[in-house]
Amino acid sequence: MTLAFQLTQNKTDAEDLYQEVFIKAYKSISKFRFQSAFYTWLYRITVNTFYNLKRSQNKMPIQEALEDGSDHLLNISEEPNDFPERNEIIIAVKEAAENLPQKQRTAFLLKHMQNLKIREISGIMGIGEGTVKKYLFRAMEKLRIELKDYRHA
Amino acid sequence: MPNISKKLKEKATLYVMNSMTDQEHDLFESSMTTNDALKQYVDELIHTLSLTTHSFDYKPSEEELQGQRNLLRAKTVQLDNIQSNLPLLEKVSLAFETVLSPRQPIWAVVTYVVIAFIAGRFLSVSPNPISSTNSRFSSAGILGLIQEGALSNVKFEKSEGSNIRLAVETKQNVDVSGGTNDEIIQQILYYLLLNDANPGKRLQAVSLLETVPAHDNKKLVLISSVLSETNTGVRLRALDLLSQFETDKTIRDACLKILLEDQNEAVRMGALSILANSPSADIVPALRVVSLMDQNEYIRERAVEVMTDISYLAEDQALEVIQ
Repeated sequence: MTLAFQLTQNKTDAEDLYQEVFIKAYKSISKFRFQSAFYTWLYRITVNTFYNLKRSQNKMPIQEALEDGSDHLLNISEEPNDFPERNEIIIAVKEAAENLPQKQRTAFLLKHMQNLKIREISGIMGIGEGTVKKYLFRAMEKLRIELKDYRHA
Repeated sequence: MPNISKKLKEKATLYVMNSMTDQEHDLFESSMTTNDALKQYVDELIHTLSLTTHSFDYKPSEEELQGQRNLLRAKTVQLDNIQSNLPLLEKVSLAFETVLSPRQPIWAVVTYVVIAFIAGRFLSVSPNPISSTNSRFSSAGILGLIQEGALSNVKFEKSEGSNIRLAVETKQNVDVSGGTNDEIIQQILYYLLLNDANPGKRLQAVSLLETVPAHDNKKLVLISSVLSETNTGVRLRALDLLSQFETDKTIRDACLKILLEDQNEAVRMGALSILANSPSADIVPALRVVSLMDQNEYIRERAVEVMTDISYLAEDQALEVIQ
């Protein structure tokens, strides 16, 4: 569930993704042959389902997409005067993360937030370990530049 | 900021993300002591990471998770209902498919069997002398027949004491008797368990395996049996014997597969008990699925308990490390 939130940054999408991943896993559990760890398999389904979700959202009409964006930014406090600076940082991080290319963002989240090994990320994303390292470096470099004003906040 | 090479920046990323080997890590740290720009760059990366950690860190509440679980259960019930409402013709074809297709891919079963027999042939010590009423058949000759799959209609004969007597039908009939320490008896029992068409004989074979000393080929044969056996009684007995082994990765993987796939609740419960005796963080994702999806309420609850045990264990280990 946490990975679903981190990938989508949107509560509604995260719930949809979570449901779809488990239903897919339930339907295809007999295909799982234990050639990889179970969680790697589940993460792979999550990432692929997320990519499909994004693809279908990109085809959505603009107006619909705008209306749908009302409940984004989960971690922002609902209390009006509760740590406004913190909310500002969260918005900045969210924007910086959204500006990352999808694969760089996925590699970054799997490494930094899910503490997976490079080898595991390579298996989940279906790319080489060298490419994972490149994605991590590029993501990190972009975030470093985009968030420079908030680093000492 | 002074220029730092791209290669060093890449290394810095791996450093802050704990993706370096110990040697690379030490080397990088020593190069930082002489390079202030690099040190500053690493500090910036660490601060950036801490910003993102706080922003992305999200733990759904128990209520939210429970809501998702309920929704998932409802969906899986709906899926099962759709399958049970299939037209009669499709149901019949599905039934045939289920009967005809093995529960395991044939390559997996064949691999286990081959490994079991190869292990049996090469790992075991020289066979104890066994008695055969037919002098033309040495134990090596019978082993050869087993490997060729040329045995048929193996019968259990009444025998005195702890001896097991088997009547083996090949081109010539052979009577074999010996204890469960005898390699030839073990091989015939393995053969019976994995190949005989009669579930009663398979059950008898697995029951006799209880007294066979624990070794790798016995373990592999039992794993092969629990994964491919169609008779629930035999599967349960094999699983029971498997629980007497130390739970290694092979057994854990087999138990996870049974827990996720076996149709019988008692067998799934048996697999879960083996996993519970050897708690490991690797099994948590599978347990999550079981806690949501298993049709049996008791298994779902037990899966949650095992997950809780694993989390306590992890906390204890973390505390030990801190202390």
